[in-house]
Amino acid sequence: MRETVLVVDDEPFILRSLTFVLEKAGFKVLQARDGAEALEALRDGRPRIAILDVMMPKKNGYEVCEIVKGDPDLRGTYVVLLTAKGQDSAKERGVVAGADEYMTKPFSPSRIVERVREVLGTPRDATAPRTA
Amino acid sequence: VSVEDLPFAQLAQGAAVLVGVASAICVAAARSGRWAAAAATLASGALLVGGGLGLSGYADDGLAARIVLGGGLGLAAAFVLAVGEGRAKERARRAAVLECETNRREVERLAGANVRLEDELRDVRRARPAPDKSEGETDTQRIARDMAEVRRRKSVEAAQSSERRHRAVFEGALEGMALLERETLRLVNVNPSLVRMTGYDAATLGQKSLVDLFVAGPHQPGKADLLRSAREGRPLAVELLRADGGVAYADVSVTVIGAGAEAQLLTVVRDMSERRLLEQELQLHLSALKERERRLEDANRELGERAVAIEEMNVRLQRIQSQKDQFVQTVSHELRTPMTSIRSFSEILLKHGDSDEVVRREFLEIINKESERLTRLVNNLLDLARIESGEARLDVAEFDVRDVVADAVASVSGPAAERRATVRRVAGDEQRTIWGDRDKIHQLVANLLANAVKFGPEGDEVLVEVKDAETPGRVEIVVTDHGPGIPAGELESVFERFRRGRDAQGVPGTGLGLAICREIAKLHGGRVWAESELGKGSRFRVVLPGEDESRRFLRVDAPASVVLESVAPFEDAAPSAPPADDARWSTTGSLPPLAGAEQRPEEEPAASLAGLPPIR
Repeated sequence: MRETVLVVDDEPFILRSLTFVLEKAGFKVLQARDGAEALEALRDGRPRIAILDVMMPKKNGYEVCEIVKGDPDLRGTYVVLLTAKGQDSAKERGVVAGADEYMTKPFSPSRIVERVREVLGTPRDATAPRTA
Repeated sequence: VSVEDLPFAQLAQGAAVLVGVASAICVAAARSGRWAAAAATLASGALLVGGGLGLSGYADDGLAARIVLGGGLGLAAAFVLAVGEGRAKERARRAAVLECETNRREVERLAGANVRLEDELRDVRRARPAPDKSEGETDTQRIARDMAEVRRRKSVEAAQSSERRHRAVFEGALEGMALLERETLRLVNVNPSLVRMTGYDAATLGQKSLVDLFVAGPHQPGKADLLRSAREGRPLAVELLRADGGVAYADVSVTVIGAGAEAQLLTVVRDMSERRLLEQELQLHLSALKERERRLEDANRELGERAVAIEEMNVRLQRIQSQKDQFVQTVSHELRTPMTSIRSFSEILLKHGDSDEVVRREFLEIINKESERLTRLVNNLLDLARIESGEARLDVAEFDVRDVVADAVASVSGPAAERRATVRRVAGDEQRTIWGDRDKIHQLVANLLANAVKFGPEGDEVLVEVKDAETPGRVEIVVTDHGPGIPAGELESVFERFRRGRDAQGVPGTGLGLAICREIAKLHGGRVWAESELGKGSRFRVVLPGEDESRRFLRVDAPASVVLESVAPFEDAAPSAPPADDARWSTTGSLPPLAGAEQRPEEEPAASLAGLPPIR
């Protein structure tokens, strides 16, 4: 069975590029354009990994991450935060929200695919938080 | 022997002798005043005579008895007299004792006086030999004269000694002293100190009255003041006019010596100049101190005010700083988004170059679009930065607003076609000439039109009108769309940087277009604002000064280098007219600098950065 990855961004081109490379790599990709859609997709599709843009309408990435990590059913989801901010404050905020990893825009699509492969290649329980 | 036996002659002889003796005693007693003894003797004689006569029978018994009775009465009288005499004698004796005592004391007193007189006499003799005894003068007279002389000399001596002492005090006193005539206050006798103090010689002073020494003027004390001070025993502070014209400060006290016509006044003048100088110096120091204190207080208050001002500025700078941070974050995000797309798709194309033609073309178009977006964003940012830093120069010329609007309509034909929208222009036949930067006005109108096309529904008919503004002489441009409209709370904020309307998601744009519109309007002394009815559409209105006003506003006739510091606030019947401050832009566009708060700290750059929101 193909692993499912959720990508969330309000910028259609970023959504498009991530979807393209992940599908090329053989993953099933769920798309969402804002926080509300993301939570819906998380509950319906149960992706093992969620790549969240931080700055988006209706619940930003941090808020979605906090909800995921506070929900017993969704807690196991590996959360990657995408941010245009490179500041330390963004990092701290991500840590507080319980994100497993975050990447700074502009990112490299192949690097994302690489990370997703690594994360999904290891047993679900053993996925330790790490940063890139 | 019986009496009858005795011879009569013998008896008579005996009686005669007895009478004679008694008479003698009586006379003697009477002479010495001893009347009692005389009376007793007489009475005894009478008794004896009577008794003898009776016994002898020489006389009859009656006669003898009367004689005896008379003798007895005489004896009794003598007894009474004797008693009275004894008492008188006792009184006299006592008086004599008293007198004796008094006399003794007097003698003693006189003896003492004598001793003193002798002492004095000795003194006198020691001092000078006694003058020769005058002719016909008794010793007593001479002594009396000597004594008088001694007394006179002693008193003269004492007077001279006292005079010497007083003279020494008078001459040697540090205080100026003078005796004054009572009536004229003329200086009868002055001491050296007063001479020194006043600088006049004693003779000159002798011609002056005390009052003459005082500096003339309303405060010059007169005689009455001096006498009052004498009565009250309180010195009078005066200013003395010195012979050299200088002024000395002194305390003057006056004392009355003697009484009646002979009375004189003694005045004592104490030089207070040094003390006065010291006091004045002290006063100067004191006032200098007070002045310093006052200045310190002023400085302190000023410091306090500055501290408050600095605190306020600090708060403002912090706000500006945080707005700047937010702005940088926002710009950073806005720049990174297209960069991310470009990077992602170029990488994908490089790695998956074998993808089919359609996909490759799609990705290339995305890269192209995002590059354009990036360029637009950078250009807009540069435009705003130039305006805000005062570097935006208006290329001022005269033009017809209708022409510019027509050009702007043409420039949005591409995007309009994409959205299948049409732009209808209603400009009238009347020429609308204004002064301004034609390119910038074009940009303003084109931005509004592009906005209307983007936010209006597909196939919308956007209307652009050029007409008279409500304020006579001004020109109004109105762009109307039929989109979803803008909530009342966002009508102003849509003009802020990166502040996009509620429904701007997914609509391409930099979030800077309207901010640029507003700055361009301001540069021309005009303004732009939005009106909207939700669900029906939005209307963006621009009011620009007409030909004359724009010429004045832009100082077309003035030398090009002149920078407008201040212009009359532009007023229009518009909602939320900007505060008067907002009109203080110059032809070179001295908008409050974006990050240059230090250049114009009194401005509120915050206004241009206000509340940069998280985008989306």
